[in-house]
Amino acid sequence: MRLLLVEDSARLRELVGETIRAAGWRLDAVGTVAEGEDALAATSYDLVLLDLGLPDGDGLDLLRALRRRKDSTPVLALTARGAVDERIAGLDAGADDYLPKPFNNGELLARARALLRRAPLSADPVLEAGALRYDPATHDVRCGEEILALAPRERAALEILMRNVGRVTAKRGLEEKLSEFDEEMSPNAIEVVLSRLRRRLAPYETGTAIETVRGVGYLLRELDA
Amino acid sequence: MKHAAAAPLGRIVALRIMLFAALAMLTQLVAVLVEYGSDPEYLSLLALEQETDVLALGLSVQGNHLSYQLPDAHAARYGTEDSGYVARVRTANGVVLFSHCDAACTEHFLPLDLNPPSVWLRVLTPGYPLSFAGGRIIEKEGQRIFFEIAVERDTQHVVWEVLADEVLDHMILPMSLTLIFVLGATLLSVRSALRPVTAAAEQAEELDPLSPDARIEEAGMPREIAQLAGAVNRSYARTRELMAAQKLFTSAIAHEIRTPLAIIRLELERIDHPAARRATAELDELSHFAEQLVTLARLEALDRSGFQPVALDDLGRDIVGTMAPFVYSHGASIAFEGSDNPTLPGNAALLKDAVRNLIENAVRHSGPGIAIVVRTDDGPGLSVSDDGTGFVPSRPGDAPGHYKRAGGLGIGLEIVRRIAALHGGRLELERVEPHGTRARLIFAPAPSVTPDR
Repeated sequence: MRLLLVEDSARLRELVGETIRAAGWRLDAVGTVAEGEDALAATSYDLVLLDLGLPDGDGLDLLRALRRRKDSTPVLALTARGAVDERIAGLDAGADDYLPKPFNNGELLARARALLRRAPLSADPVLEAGALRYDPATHDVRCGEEILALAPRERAALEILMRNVGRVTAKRGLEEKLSEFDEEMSPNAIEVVLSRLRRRLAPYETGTAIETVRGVGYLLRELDA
Repeated sequence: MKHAAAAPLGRIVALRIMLFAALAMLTQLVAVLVEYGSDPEYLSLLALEQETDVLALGLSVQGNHLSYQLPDAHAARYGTEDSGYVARVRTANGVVLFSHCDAACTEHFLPLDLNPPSVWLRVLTPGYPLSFAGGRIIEKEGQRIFFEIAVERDTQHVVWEVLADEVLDHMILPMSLTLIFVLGATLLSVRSALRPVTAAAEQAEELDPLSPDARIEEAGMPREIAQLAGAVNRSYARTRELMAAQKLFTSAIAHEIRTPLAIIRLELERIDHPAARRATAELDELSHFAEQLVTLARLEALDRSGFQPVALDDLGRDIVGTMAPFVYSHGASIAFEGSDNPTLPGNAALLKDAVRNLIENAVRHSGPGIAIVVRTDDGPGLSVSDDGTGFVPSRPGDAPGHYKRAGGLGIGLEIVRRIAALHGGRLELERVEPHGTRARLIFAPAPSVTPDR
């Protein structure tokens, strides 16, 4: 995994750099739009962490140029939450996600992981959430070292939730995806599957919780250590 | 700001000119009456001329044959007995064509055998009412006809007729003509002088004062109007400066303060001490506050342009999904209950900000372990309820300004309130029995908008 950080504050580059390298990824850090463009032209990155306010221009311009070249490298914009127009402009320009400043290391790593997982040719296809590991190739679900015995539907539901860890998975989306595995699934059947999945996971220290967001969907979240 | 529009300048000027013209005429009239009135002999002469002119209309000439028929207009005056007026029409050599005579004729008129002068007048009693006798020769087709009248008692007010005729002929007609030309010329000048003003007003109407090249073209304007346009242009420029200053201020907070905050946040994480955790919590509060200040500042500059139909159910479901990780990580829960997906024209991002603020308020101020429910209704409205201790007022119905319990709450609710107002709605806060708080955004019903399905 090789990441590019475009951020004008030298101290923030150092701090983020330490976090990223501690997670086992390589990081190139630059301070201007021009340097960012040079780096993107020379190297193929798996993820770009992009500050929007840069000394020699707007980070969004760099992003637009990237997307114009049909480069689909995921981009995590480091921006101001609540700044409505900035978020809209960023969406239009093709950012994949946002991380509001100030952020903490946990948030940064979680968002970065989520984007790296989304990458189509990810070299690390094993899904992680808390202590849970899911290998799509072997369909093994582990908690730590133990392999969990799950019914196919439960495993499918867990896979979808793990791909969306930290975000709400819409109930309708879950319905559609599970229906591919099986016969048509009613909303009630989904609830049955989820409650069984919760019971299966209950004995283990998974470090996660599956929350029902009534009226919207389900949320698999990692519990604070 | 909303005065009834004043009348157009043309009408104001026209009305004033007419008013002054009326005053001038009145003054003139008084002057004329005084002047004529002080000279009854001259009035008598005028009356003689006028009366004989009318009488002459009854004369007809056919070859050498003359005949006379009293005109209808004067039948009452010279055709009835004892009217106070007498008249006689004769030729120079004494042939009487018409006679409405009594003793007064022989007393006042010239003898028939006398070859009459072209005009004669004799005042019978000086002063008013007029009393005179006189005669005048009027030529018609080569014939010289002598008209004589005598007025002993002016019972039919010939004097007023004379005065009215004089006023009409020598005052009203010429002054009216002048008035018409003056009015026309003035209106024309006013209109052509105002044409650049009208053009500038239309131009200003089209302008977006915030666009960088917003200015009224001053070239080709009369000097006074160019001054006005210049003043307007300067105020546009000033507005742009203020807006630019505000943008600079908000983006300074957004970018220049956030980066140091991010650095402090990450540095604190490296310090393994409870004090660092407390400082982190304080820092989060500070970041939140700075963010709300920026939001509030940005709201000032927004208007309703760019509003689009927003379906409340979709919006509520979306924001609840977005906020759920935050809510659950704080030990609270959240759910969404939709209705018939009411639609209203609005700015979806702003409305989401409002709901997000209400959810954050509930999480921050209503105690741990609360259950939050976001509902939509057909008001159209959207409410955020919780079952916590809440920022409830001591008495139901307290003014919103009284919901001050914790720092940051006031500004968050102010943001929500302004967003609601921008959408023609309002925010209502109320206590829910047995415990909890409900914040409800109520929007104006939009009957013309139908949901897009």
